[in-house]
Amino acid sequence: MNRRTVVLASAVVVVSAELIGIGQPWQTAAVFAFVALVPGLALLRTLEGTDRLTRVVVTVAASLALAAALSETFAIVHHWTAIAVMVTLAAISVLACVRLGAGR
Amino acid sequence: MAELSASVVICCYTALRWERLSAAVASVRRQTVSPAEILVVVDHCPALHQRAREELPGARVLANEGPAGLSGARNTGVAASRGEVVAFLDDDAVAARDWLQRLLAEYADPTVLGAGGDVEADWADGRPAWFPREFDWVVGCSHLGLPDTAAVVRNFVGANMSFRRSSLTALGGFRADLGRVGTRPVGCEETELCIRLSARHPEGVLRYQPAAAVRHHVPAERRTWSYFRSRCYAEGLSKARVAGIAGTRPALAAERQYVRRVLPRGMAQAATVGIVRRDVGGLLRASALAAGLATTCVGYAVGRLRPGGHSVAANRVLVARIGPLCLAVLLWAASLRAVQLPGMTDVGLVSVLPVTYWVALALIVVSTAVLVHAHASERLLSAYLAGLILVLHATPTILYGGSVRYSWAWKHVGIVDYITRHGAVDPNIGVLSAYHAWPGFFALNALIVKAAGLSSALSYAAWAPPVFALLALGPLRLLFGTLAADRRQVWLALTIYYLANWVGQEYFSPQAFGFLLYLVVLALCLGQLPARRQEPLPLLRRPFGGSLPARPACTPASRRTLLAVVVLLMLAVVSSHQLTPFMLLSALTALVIGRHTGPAWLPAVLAVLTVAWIWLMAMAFLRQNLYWIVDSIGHPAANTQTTFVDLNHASRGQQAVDYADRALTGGMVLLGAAGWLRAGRTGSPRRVTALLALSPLPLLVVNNYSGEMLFRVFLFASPFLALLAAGLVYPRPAGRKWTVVLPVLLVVALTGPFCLAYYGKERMNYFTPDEVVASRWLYGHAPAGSLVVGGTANFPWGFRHYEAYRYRFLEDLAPDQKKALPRTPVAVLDRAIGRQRPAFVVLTRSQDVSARYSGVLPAGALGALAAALPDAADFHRVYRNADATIYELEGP
Repeated sequence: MNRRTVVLASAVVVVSAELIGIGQPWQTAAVFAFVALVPGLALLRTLEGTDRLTRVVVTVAASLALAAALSETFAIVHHWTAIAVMVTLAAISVLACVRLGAGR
Repeated sequence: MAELSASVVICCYTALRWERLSAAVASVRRQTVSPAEILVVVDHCPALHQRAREELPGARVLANEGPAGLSGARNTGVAASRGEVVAFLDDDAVAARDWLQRLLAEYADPTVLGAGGDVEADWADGRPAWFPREFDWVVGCSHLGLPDTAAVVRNFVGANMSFRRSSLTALGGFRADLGRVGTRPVGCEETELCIRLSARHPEGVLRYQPAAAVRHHVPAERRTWSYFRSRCYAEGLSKARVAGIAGTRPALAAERQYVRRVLPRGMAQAATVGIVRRDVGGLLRASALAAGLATTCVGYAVGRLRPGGHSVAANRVLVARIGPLCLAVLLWAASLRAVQLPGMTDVGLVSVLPVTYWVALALIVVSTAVLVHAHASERLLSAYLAGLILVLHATPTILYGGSVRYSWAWKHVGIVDYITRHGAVDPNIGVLSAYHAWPGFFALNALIVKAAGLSSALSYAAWAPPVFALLALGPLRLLFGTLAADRRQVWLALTIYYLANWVGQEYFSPQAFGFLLYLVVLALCLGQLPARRQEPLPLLRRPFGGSLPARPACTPASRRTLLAVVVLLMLAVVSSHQLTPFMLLSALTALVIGRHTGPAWLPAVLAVLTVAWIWLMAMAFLRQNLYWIVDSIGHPAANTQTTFVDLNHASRGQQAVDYADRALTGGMVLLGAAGWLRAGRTGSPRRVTALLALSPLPLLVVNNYSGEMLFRVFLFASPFLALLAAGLVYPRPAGRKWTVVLPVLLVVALTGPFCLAYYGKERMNYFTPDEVVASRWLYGHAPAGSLVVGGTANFPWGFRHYEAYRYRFLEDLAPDQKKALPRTPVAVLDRAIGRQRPAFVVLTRSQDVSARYSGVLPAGALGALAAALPDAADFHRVYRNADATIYELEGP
């Protein structure tokens, strides 16, 4: 499965899970995995040539930082809802993936 | 339908089993249906080949034309055979008279690709009492997991099986890289062939007909426990190999059923027989079942970890290396059951952890140092460090159940709670406004809590320490790998870091998040973003330059992405924590001045982001706190003052803890300095590491951070001090075996003080279930607008609807009032409360401990208050349990 499919599928799954609820512990696991991995996965295509550990570290750190920055932005402008942040996060991930041409 | 013609193939490799081979051939000759031919294939044994040709008339004797081993011999037999069906019989098995007839009968069904039968064990000296029938596959026989009647199976037992020759030929025969060679007890070549055959012909089936029986001789030497163990281990290795070739699902489908159904039933039966009938054999069989399963699993794990490593000797080495870790984790897990938290003394958890815990910790620490010295693989060392992190940081988490360690963590949970309820932050809120001004970490957790459908961050906050410690491993490895050329120095430094960083800032906090991102930014800048200008530095900048191993350049596209990531991480750092941006600014500035990273505008961007953030979000906080911020500028001596243990009033236990804190901090500085000196002699890279170790120091001049600045400076310096300290041992030429003592001594010397320093204040940091229940009662019953009063702030507070309450802590009173507290406690309390109603006074065990440890209140002050309040007018006790009491003040 290529990375673009993973990002797209994860975005769809996690937003659907947020909307309809998939029960515990699956929902918690899906949210943790999405927030900590998926936005960073979209960047990896442009990091070819770097070593594996660097890619893993960048994936996790960039994902968490983006999620934190987005979530606080919504909170600062007093429009924070989890679904709004998740949809935006998913949209940015998918957009970055498509724009950066994430492949295998 | 006319019966098919059959070729019977018997493979042999040693003349020592001549009698068995003769009996096998004779049993085939006596079949009710005669085979078209009997092929005896000799596996690279000329003497046996010669004798077989002379003494086995009627059999075609062939030499194995392929590689040595059972697979090569079987393929030789298949290639030479002429029958439509090829049946295989082991050279030490004897077929029943109707064996071939029953096998061939199965082929009446055209979908049958192959047929196999029962293999009964024929024990030379009888079955040992301990040997379970469920494990008869160990001696190449049918086990209890196979069906009793004719049925479709995934694979056959190799000693008794047959296939259509056309299918076998089209398939390419058995894989020569699998299967037994001589006495090497590995196999599964028939399993892999059966899986491949079924995959090639999805419409076909493999039929097991128990009535087509053979008796398989089991020699006396296979009755031993060592054979059982080595065969189980080899089976695990073989299964891993098959799983690697055919995929995990087909390779383990039958085994899953066997493990879930057959083995538990067998264990239960054997144990029942052992206990009810007092049959030692039953107990031994139950033990053998458990041990056999465990050994096979270990073999499988080793096989999966080392897909190319098929050598038993090599895998033994690997087991010897993994073994201490597995044993340590098991011991650790078992040790936690024995802990009695109420027995904690003033040395904290150290006083209640059992011997098994210390053995487990010692095993991991010493093994890690030995493996580092022995150039073990990165994967293995990562596993050991993960184990070390688990033992050090998950211990309080597991022992405390749902109770989150540290009172500060409860407040942090409260900010997350605020965001989830209000969908906003409010930097002008007053109480805990700093968290609203730097909300990145809290907003991230609010997102997780709400999106995951959790009620509160308390659901997972207790796991933050092991998770943050594990997450730091990646960036630290990258950072150290860039700063040092010697791989052993890198891994020893990682071990030292986890044994020296005692300040406990990896809990559920913005500092933990900020520190993690700080490490990632430095790792990316140093490792991936070298400065483009390489010409010599001007004189004034020379102390900052030089001494870094060469780094590979990344592509322009990668560089652009990494720069964007670094700026994003900076933004997250700036918006999450007050102190970390300044630490990062100091480090980045030093790196840019020395041209270790670029572009040169990185520190400027960070500075602009920091100032802009404070300007936009934190001005209210700054105005409220300006007086002490300005006051502490330029007073480095005062800023090093800490708020921790008051040695004048401390018990002997707490004095020991405090000495451990100081020894570890001072010791790391000394070790770092010594490592720096040695690196100068060995010519190892040292300057950039030293720069980064010193980079937090300027912050001491600027602020005292509520008495914690010294600890934070140590936190940010500790990775680099650890790398310099590891430089005391490595690099080191190979050859002298005794030198393994050096890394072992170093890490063992750190372990004791670390445990005292890290676990030593747990009477204060741990909140008992009673204390947590009392706090929950408070927030469930106190009306909004109430004043909550505590002796100290060291209890679970602020975690729920925190903004609806006002807070006052007696530790914050003016010195003269605190002094009066033991003599006139109720009067002081009355003055502190003033006219605010309703007011709830919370007194807990942990407040008492924290007041005693820190000396923030006079000795006996809280005891006097607890004694006086029951008789005080207007104060009514509204809640009480063993560890907490809550009073309500009524009236005007």
